[in-house]
Amino acid sequence: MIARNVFQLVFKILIYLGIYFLVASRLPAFHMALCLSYTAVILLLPIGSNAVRTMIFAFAVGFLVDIFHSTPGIHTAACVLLAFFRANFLNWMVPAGGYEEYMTISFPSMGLKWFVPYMLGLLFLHHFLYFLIDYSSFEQIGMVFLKTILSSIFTFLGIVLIQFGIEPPKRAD
Amino acid sequence: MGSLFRFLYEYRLFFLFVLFEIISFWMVINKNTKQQIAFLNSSNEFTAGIMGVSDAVSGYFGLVQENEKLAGENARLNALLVKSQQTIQKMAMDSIKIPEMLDQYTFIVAKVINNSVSRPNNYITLNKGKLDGIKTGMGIISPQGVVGRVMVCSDHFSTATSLLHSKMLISAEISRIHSSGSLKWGGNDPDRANLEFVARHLKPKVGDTVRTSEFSNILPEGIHVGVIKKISLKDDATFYNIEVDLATDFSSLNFVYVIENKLKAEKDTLQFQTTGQTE
Repeated sequence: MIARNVFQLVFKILIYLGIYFLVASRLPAFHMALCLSYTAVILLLPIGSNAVRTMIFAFAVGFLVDIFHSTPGIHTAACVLLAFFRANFLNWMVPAGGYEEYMTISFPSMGLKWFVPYMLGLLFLHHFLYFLIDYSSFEQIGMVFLKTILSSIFTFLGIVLIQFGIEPPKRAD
Repeated sequence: MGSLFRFLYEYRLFFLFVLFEIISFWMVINKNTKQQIAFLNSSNEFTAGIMGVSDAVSGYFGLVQENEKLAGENARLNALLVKSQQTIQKMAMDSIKIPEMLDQYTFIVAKVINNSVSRPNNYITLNKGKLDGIKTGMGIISPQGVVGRVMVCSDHFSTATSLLHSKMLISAEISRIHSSGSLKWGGNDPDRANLEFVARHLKPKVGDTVRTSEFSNILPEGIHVGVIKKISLKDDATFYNIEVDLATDFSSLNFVYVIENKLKAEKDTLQFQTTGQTE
């Protein structure tokens, strides 16, 4: 049972990364917004995942993406920040009655009220650090904010679409 | 001692976070001074392989436009061929022969397999490398105009600095009045760049063509760069602010030519001997 879950998780992670590298990374909208949908593999990990292991995993994912884009360190820094705040967000946003065994991070399972702030909040932090390092100047801070906001929304929509595509919500019986 | 370890363990997540961020920023800073860590680069075989697959798929969607471009390019080259044959015939009558000057440049066709336009510093990955004769520092043009300069090569792939890069400068001139300046990207719009250092006594006009100048070491003279879109001159400024509409459509780069300048080493050595500086 557990082996099967692990297998499923690894498989999903590979699909998310594959979609990012092959499709989403080539989708800049109007030269303004990027779809950094690889963040899904960190954001959508099971709720009970160990925070330290999540962070090591995020470091590895960021490093891989950095190699792909020839941008050493930028994605890694943003991913590690994402993993750190994910652990905190999960603690702050405990729903009434606590997390249940069956809950997964998706909007049919957690509801819009939980899912949207969780995703957009974390994506905003990740994208903000990414663009801040990428521009590495405070002169263009307006541009950094604009790109961060637009890209967060774009990435959010991308992740929701991909999630619906590869894990269609099961009908409640 | 025990309580120290307990403290460290208690906040292990935070310490790990700080440690990882330090490592990442170390990588960022190192990269900015000089991007020489070979494996941290999209020209390595693994990532370039993935990008090659991805490009093979997406390449099909642009076939129509690509065909049109190639047909246009063919027509232009045919015209050029005719012209150069005439020149050669004329030259044959002359007794002076300068073979090195005649084929100073060789062209290597390469395909762009990764490209970005929306970042402040953009890079291009090409599917040719050292084994195909590509070396660091060679210039790159597309059928439409100037593209950039090769930065790092592996055996089969190479990464290049696009013109859309904050540190990239190209010597260009306004062909009508032969006044040269430096072309530099402004940082936001991938269709625009600024032509700097055009002195205020000159009279550039909107619509003038900008081409590479003979001062450039990496690109041949006369490669199309773009057309002047906007000119402004502040009262106290020495130089014009000139905005150039770039001819190259960076968002749809596909086939490019990497240019080898056979006389570059000779020119560099000579310049170095006289001034102690290289370009």
